[in-house]
Amino acid sequence: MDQNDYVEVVREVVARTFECDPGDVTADSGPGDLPQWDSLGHILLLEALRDRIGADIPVERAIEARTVSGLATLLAEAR
Amino acid sequence: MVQTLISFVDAVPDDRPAIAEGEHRVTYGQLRSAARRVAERLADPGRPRRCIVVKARPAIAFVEILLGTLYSGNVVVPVDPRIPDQGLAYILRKCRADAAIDPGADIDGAAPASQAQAWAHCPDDLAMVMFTSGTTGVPKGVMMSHANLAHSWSAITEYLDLTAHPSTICVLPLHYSYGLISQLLCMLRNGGYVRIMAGLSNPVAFVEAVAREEIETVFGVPSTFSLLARYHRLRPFSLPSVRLVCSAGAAFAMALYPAIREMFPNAVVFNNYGMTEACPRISYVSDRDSAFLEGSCGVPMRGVEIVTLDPDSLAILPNGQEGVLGVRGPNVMAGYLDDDERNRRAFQRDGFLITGDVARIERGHLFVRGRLDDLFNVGGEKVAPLEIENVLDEMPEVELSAVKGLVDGDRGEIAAAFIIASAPLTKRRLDEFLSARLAPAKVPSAYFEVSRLPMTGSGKLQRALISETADYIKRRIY
Repeated sequence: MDQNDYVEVVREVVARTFECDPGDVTADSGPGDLPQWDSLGHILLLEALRDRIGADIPVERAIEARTVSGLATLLAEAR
Repeated sequence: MVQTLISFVDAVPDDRPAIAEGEHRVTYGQLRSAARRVAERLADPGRPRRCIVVKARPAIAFVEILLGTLYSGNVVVPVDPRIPDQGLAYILRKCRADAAIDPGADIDGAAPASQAQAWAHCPDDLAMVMFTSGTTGVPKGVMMSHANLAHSWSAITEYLDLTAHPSTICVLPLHYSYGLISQLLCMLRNGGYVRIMAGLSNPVAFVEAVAREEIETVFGVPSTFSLLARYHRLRPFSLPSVRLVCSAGAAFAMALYPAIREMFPNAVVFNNYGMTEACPRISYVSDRDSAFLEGSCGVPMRGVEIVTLDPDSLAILPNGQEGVLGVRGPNVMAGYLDDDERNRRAFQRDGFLITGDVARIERGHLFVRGRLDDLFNVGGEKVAPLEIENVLDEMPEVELSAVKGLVDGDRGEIAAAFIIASAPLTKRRLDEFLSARLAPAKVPSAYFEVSRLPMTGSGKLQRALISETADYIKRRIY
């Protein structure tokens, strides 16, 4: 999987976690861009990503990731 | 003679650490110097007791302006820094002020608010006005006197034994009485240390700061602990320096208690009950008291009397009988700013503040059932949403729930539950779980799965806004 594939995975999980159309989520989307994507929503998203990829993601850095593409980079590193 | 906040702050040694915000730290000496500079700009001997409206940013600058306002003999009015223009205009009008000071923008520009006029009808020792909209309606300006606040701080300090634990981390909004009065200012009143964080958007930073600075007290609302528990599940942590955990602002989330014990293994956990009108604390219970696990809001703090009142006649009811909670004590506000109509309805004839919460008092312990306005009637039986929500929240599949009465042609009203689910749910599973624990009228007739619930900025459920046709309804659960 390359970076683009991981971006797609994150977009899909974001859309599922926050109940929105995947078309509304871009590589630049981040916390605050969707009503439910607040600080608690961000933690819920990290849980969902961990379950989705089955790898331990670096939570300390993932909490500070501000975009879908930033999260995708961390996932790629974790795998 | 009331010992005001500034008399306490003045007595703390100059070099003692007072507040930290990121890398920025001030000692009590520096805090006082900055506050006195603000006071000089605000002082106007011809117009004392003006309301100085300040945006309550989570910043040292805000605290300096707040203390400076008190040094100058004026009245501080902290407001939500994100308040919409229309809401701010209303508050400014009520306070007879032209503008709000924004600590982020005009730290030394107290000039805008200096145009404010003195408010002639304030009590003589008015210190602060906090606007609260609660869960519905137009904001009400709660007038807090120096005496109200002095009593609150003294009694809170006593029951929490705060002088033994003189450090805290503040993640609560500072336009909110719990975060500002019960936590931040109470800690400064005791000469303690406050680390300010702008919310809990970064739980990693929270955990690091508490561990690094060996913070001893943590205050939060249930959603604060929910977020920390979620993070704890991802990255388990333990903060042994914390000796005191306080929850308030909404019913204690008992489901989070095991996680709270793991995260703060050496802490006594307090569930606290209050409202801005009581400046703001009324009662408390710690997990050393068996009533804690029964969901009690505990016993009244020193000086506070609680009674239940008949909802119609407002007569005091015998002990144990459910009614509207009435509160009286030196911490209870004198009234709402410039609001004669509301002030006439706020107190009953014996001087008890009518809280609007339905409660009963047993063995001296307070049990709150919910807001009087929230009660609904199913086939003649009065139902309190909170009672049903507490049972729903015990289900492992339920993340958060809200219950509301919906109009029904046959029964007047029916109970409907709105659930944020963490696992799949069926109506059969819900019915079985609730029927085993609740009277038949209290088992909801309809269940909806939702993606979120309408909340106020301070994390209170806005039950009046819940609707079965809102965009956050995902599906009806069958």
